[in-house]
Amino acid sequence: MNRKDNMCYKVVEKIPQYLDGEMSEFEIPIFLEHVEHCHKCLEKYEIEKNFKEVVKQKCERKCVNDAMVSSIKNKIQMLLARG
Amino acid sequence: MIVQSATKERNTLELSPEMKNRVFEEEFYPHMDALYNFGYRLTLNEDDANDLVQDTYLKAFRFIETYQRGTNAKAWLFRIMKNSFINDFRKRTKEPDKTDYDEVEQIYNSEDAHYSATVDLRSEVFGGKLGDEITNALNSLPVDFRLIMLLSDIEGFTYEEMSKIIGIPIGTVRSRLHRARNMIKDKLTAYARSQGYKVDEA
Repeated sequence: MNRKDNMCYKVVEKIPQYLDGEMSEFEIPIFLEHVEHCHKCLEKYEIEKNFKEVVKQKCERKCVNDAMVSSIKNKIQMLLARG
Repeated sequence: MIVQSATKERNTLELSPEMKNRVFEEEFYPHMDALYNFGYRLTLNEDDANDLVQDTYLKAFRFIETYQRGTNAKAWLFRIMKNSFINDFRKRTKEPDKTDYDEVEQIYNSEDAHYSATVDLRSEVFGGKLGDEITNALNSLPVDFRLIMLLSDIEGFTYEEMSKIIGIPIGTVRSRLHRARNMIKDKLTAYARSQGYKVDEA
């Protein structure tokens, strides 16, 4: 494995960490610098970024219904009144 | 001094009903929709999700003295719900239990830990059915893997928060999340193949 491939390997492995917002401030500029200039890594980065966004978007939040909200709040109020 | 600090401590532990009400209004109630969604995605059933939400708030009331005001209420509530789900709900259902889960984790551990599945969701194969295929893939994951996907990619918790909610080390959060994503990608790739598309191993 040559130096460039080795760097690509490390960068690709760190894509999830970057997308999850878990990369250290120190690593971010190095990571981005490489991704901006490496076509292959940029492609993989775009695929992963898209994957994460689509998963979130397709599992759109379901909301609790109003009856449940008032039922829970009433129960808590009763418990509070009891002291 | 000792007496003073002891009194002070008791005062912070025993909240007045007004204070408790404020904690609920300001810190707990704003997370009800997120909790419901989490409960629904875990149980795939609206009634069970409602039960979990109610149970979570009742437990929050019971254990409110252990909550430190102004800290991460959302993570605290999610931890309660996750525990309720694991402890009570799992017993009643046919969800895979701990041994099944260990088996799955072992299978994935035996593979190259650096294995990364890739699937390009922009590919035309997924077209209009992408939503269904993703939720199907997510729903078919063993519960521990589904749980971490929900906490991370749907709710956006940090690795550290997830570590506290689930009660596992951060390193395990990272590897379990990696495996969960691999499983979803493998399922989507299998789907693409079943539709006759040639999917190249990236």
